[in-house]
Amino acid sequence: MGNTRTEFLPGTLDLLVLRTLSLGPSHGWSVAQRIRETSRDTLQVNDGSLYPALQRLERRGLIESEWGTSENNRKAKFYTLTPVGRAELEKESQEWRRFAVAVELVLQMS
Amino acid sequence: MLWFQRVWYRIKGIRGPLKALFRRKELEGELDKEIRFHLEEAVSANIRSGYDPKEAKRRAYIAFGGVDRYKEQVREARGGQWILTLILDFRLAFRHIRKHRGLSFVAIVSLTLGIGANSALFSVVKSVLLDPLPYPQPEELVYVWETRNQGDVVESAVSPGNFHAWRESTSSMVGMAAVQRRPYNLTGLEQPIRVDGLNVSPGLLATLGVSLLRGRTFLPAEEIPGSTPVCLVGEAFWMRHFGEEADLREKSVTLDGVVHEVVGILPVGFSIPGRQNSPAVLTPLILDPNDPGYRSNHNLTVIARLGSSATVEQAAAELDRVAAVLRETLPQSNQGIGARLKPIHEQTVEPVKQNLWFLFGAVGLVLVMTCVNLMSLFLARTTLAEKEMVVRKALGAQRYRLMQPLLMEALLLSFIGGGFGLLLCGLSVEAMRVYGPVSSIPRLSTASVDLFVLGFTVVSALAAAFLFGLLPAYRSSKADVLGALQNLGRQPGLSGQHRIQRMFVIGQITLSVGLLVASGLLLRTYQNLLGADLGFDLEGRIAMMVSLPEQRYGEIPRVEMFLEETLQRMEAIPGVSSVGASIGLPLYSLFWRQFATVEGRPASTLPEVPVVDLSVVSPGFLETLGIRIVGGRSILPSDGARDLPVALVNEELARAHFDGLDPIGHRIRLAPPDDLIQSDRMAERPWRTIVGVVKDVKRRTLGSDALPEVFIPQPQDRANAREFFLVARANGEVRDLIDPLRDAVWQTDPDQPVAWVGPMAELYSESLSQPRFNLVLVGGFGLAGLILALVGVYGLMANAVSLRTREIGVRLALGAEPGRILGEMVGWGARITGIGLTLGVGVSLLISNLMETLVFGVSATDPLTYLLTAVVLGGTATTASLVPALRGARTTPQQVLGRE
Repeated sequence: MGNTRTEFLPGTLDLLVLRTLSLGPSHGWSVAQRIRETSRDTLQVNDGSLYPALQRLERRGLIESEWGTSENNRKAKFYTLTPVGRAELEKESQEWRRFAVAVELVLQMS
Repeated sequence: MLWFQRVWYRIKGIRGPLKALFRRKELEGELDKEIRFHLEEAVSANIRSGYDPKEAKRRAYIAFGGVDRYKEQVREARGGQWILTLILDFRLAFRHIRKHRGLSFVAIVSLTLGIGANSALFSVVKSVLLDPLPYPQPEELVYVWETRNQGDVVESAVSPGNFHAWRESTSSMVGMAAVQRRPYNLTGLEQPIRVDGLNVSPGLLATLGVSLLRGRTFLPAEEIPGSTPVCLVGEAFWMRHFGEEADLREKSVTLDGVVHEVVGILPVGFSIPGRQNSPAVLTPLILDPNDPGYRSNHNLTVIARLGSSATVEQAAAELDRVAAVLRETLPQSNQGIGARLKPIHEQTVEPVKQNLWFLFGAVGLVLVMTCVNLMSLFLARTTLAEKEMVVRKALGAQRYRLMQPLLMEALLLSFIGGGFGLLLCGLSVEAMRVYGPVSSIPRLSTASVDLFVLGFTVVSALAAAFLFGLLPAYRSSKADVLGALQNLGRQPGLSGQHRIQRMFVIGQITLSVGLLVASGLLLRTYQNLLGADLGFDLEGRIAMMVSLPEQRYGEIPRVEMFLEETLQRMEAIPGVSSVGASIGLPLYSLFWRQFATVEGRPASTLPEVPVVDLSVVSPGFLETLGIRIVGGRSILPSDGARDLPVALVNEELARAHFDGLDPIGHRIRLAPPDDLIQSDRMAERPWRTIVGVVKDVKRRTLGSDALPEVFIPQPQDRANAREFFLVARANGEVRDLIDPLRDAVWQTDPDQPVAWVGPMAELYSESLSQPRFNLVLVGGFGLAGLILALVGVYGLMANAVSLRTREIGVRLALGAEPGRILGEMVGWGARITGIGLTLGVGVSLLISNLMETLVFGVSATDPLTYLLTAVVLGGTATTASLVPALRGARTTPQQVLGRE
């Protein structure tokens, strides 16, 4: 598995961030880590690109932010999913899955 | 998901951009902390994974990506960034304006003048030309006039017979009404006063679509001769003399000695279209078909309203047919008489439309010139914060971000100039309302600075800003990154813009020529008017107007007695050296016109009958005003009612109707030839022997030509004129006589109001007001245009020099003569000026006929004015180009290198 650094389309990155945050409030670093871990290192986002994504989501009212203390007692900005965000996540996940299925179908056609 | 929850979170999300605006530092600090936290965590994680600290840090930073870039993306995602950039550029522009004080000052002052003048004139144009008239569906209202000799442009008042005939026979007009000026002597109040009244036919108010404030309009029974006299009064009059609360019942006013019952009150500010003043009283117009003047007294103004489906052409055609029928059936009274419709808007604004649009155009031109000038000055200046532009471009900023600062500066200057300009506009409008030619420009007095004018000012400021800011902004946005890195300085390859600049300067000079020529012509006109021979003396002369009511002065001897007594009392006043009376006063626009026939030379058709201005004078009038007798004698006390009927004529009449022969001894009659019109009043119009010739006098305006005039002694006036101007010549201060003169009248007749009294000099001054107005305005623009053109030439030359600095430096270093270089540059400048002058003269000549109506005593293509303009403009422009050229010729090699 090579170190392919991928620059995501803003939409997909937003979706991934929402999903990650649905598991519980996190700060930017842990979201980056989680994405890297769960995608088994395939998805290596340029960490920095998370922050504009987080800003966008906050602007749309899908997540909220708050300063808190991290695991090792340092000040960090935590993001939480809002109810609206949760609904949006659900909607966009479905759309993504439908999209992926369609692509798969086309790829499988003979 | 409930919709209001979405909205709530959306609203919460808006906090972001707001915070971005107001608490930027805080947000930046937070972002910084957040990212620092991330990086530190990443480093720690890497260390835990076994990397050494240096490698850990390196990996962490690589994994993150470009910190500044992502920070910028966060800022953009935050929203509200656009406003921030605006504010930033605004601050930048502000700093820049303060740094370049000279240029900013010039810019603000020129913009103030340009925008202010434009707004002021817009306010006038709007009030006079654009605002709808205060009647419902004003486009349906028309004036109906008589014309003589098909195709003749002159419009005349209408006779009652024609009025009735037109009204009965036309169907395309839903209402037609006639009005007649009717000044009254109003008595019964503290002082007898003179009021402007109107006789109106039934249906005037209905035709205009005006409803009364209170009361009722005239009843049909009240238009029959002999009915109870009634009247309507104006709102202002009612307020002043009866008060708002007063009951309408049982109120009456005494007009010309007759008691009129007040039956209704007109709405506020009511007036006939085209007439400035609100009439104080309205009385019913009583037209008697049996009256001898029914078909021959042309003294009515007719207004009609077109039906909603009829067009002006249809109505005009119908009217033409009716007029043709009348010409056939009534050849005696209607020979050569036609009818013409004129929409009221055209009627009221026609005389001044050309004048106003010309002025508006002139002002607009000056603003355009200002902007073009500013543009070239901006182009010549070092580009705004060049380094800043370069950096922004490197960071990937879009074009608009690069153009924004300079546009901001332009907008800022424009709005500051516009703000002051609005103040200037307000002051000018106020000044125009008070000192401007209010009597000749209708609705000038209602010009105001309202929302429309404000909007116009804002639009002008915006347009101006873009006009002079766009090109420089575009040029600065071309920020040459590579060039800046290499510190190359100005590129010589910008001659494209230089060519444009050159064209603009030529354009400015052209326009400036136009404005200066116009100013010169108007100046000459004004001088000519000032020097115009009035035909009489102004100094120390004072005039008074009285109008004797028929009721008490129905007989000629009564009038004679009044005049005699009053004139005697006037002469007795200390300080008065001579007195006189006449029905016509020079420079006062009230004149009596009569048909006249010279014995032995009768006209053969009605349209050819000479028309003269008639003055009925007392002995002493001509002498009091200093009107010269150039042949024969003046009117004497011995020319009494029972003596030989005599008359004086003026030089113009002698020229026009006597072919240069001496008219003295010939006879003239104030009536058309017998065979053309039969009238019972012939006995009142005897043949008069001409006993003297009078020098021509300016009767109407200073610029008008003389018309034939006849003077007859008052005692011999059979028609019994009753409206007189009493004049006196003062030894000392003219104003001291005002009250004594009025008393002289009241001692003779306490119930006789004095309509007006004032020095002749005031009349003179008023007749100058329109040409003076024109002169001041256009002269001001001419001066402004000249200054702007000069600044333009200066800027052009400065720019040219700075572009060629390297070339000049090299040539000087190689040993070229500075004088030669100077000569080259000046020669180039002079060539450009020359092109501008030639074009300017050409264009001015082409449009010179626009000026025809405004000049007097000088031709619109007067060569002297053109020559003078060319010399002045050429000379000053060449001088303006000399300064930068001199500086350029003294360029040192160090300067050339230092620029890099």
